Amino acid sequence: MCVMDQKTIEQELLRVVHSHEHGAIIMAELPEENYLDATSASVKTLLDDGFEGVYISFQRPFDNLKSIFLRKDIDINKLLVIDVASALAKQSKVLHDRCIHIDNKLDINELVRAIYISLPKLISIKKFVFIDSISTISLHKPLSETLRFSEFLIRTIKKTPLSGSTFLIFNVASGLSQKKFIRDIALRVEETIRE
Amino acid sequence: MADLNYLAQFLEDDSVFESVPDGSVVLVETSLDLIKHVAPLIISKLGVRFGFVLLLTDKSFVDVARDYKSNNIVKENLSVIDCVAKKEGKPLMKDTHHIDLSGLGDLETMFAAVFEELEGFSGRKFLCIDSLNELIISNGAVNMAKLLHIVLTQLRTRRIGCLMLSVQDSLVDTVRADVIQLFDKVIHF
Repeated sequence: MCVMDQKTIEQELLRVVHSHEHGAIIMAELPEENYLDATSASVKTLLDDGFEGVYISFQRPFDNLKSIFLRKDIDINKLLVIDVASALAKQSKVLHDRCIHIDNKLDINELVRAIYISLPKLISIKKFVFIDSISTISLHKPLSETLRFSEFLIRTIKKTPLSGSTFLIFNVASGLSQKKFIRDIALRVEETIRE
Repeated sequence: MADLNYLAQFLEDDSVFESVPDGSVVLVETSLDLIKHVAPLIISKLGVRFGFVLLLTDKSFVDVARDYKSNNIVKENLSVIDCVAKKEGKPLMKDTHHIDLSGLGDLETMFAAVFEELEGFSGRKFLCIDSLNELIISNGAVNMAKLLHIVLTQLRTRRIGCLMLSVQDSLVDTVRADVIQLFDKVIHF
């Protein structure tokens, strides 16, 4: 599948967030070949545009992500990172004021609650919740739980009484976009960034 | 061998393996013809710079050693976990620190051995797996993708670099997409 190049994905992301005054639910289909670069560029684009965000890191432990973001000139102080990867791999938990840990059992309700509690801690009126890879959680949880997570999160974001705008961004590798559970989530989003 | 020269250059690139404090996790996709040259090249380029664990899932160490004899290998830094020799009745190596496992089915034992060997080295450490394809074939795509995610997280937590090899066009598209998004970098040659 041919996917738009990174510059275009960033431009498209900006177009979408600028066209929804009160926020929106977005799915971004990113090239799996350079997935890390693509997700990092999206985060940088949003932070540079005045956003702050809650980053749900299914793929990487916090320290690794912090180190990558530092190299890419991404300000970690504008993010709260929920380190799900360390919980999934039962790794030791790093203490850092921008990192939120969850229990190794990875309860979906607890995860959504952690996101919900984190959002008001962001100062900017422009906020985002960034799911780094919805397919990665499906490696560890049944599809029914993955779908429940996305549904629960969408409802929580839509009903949360926050001032300003809040965007929920589900990222997925473009090669997985035709999987049924991804298509089911895509039906619930308002914008899809893809070719 | 222009393509192998490119890989050699890549492996020497400081920005990839030296200045990245957490270690990089890289997937190399190459052709069936070239892949046999890659493991020896990696050992020769990285074995001198890291405490190096080589997990063999496709070729036995006897076969790999035949290919890297011409290179300068610092064997003190090398630990080999050979999952092929016993299974295929190949001779076991004597002159290099190695562990012989009886196959690819017991992932828990395999990766426990990998991390035990990595712990045995001081300083910077590196893991190379000679065939991601064989692991997926032996254990199923879903099991392997899940385990791979856990292993990569453990490596990243410990700041251990990793390079895995895979034969190009050999994985189903969705399996490949599930797996390669987990890597920091994917190179083809």
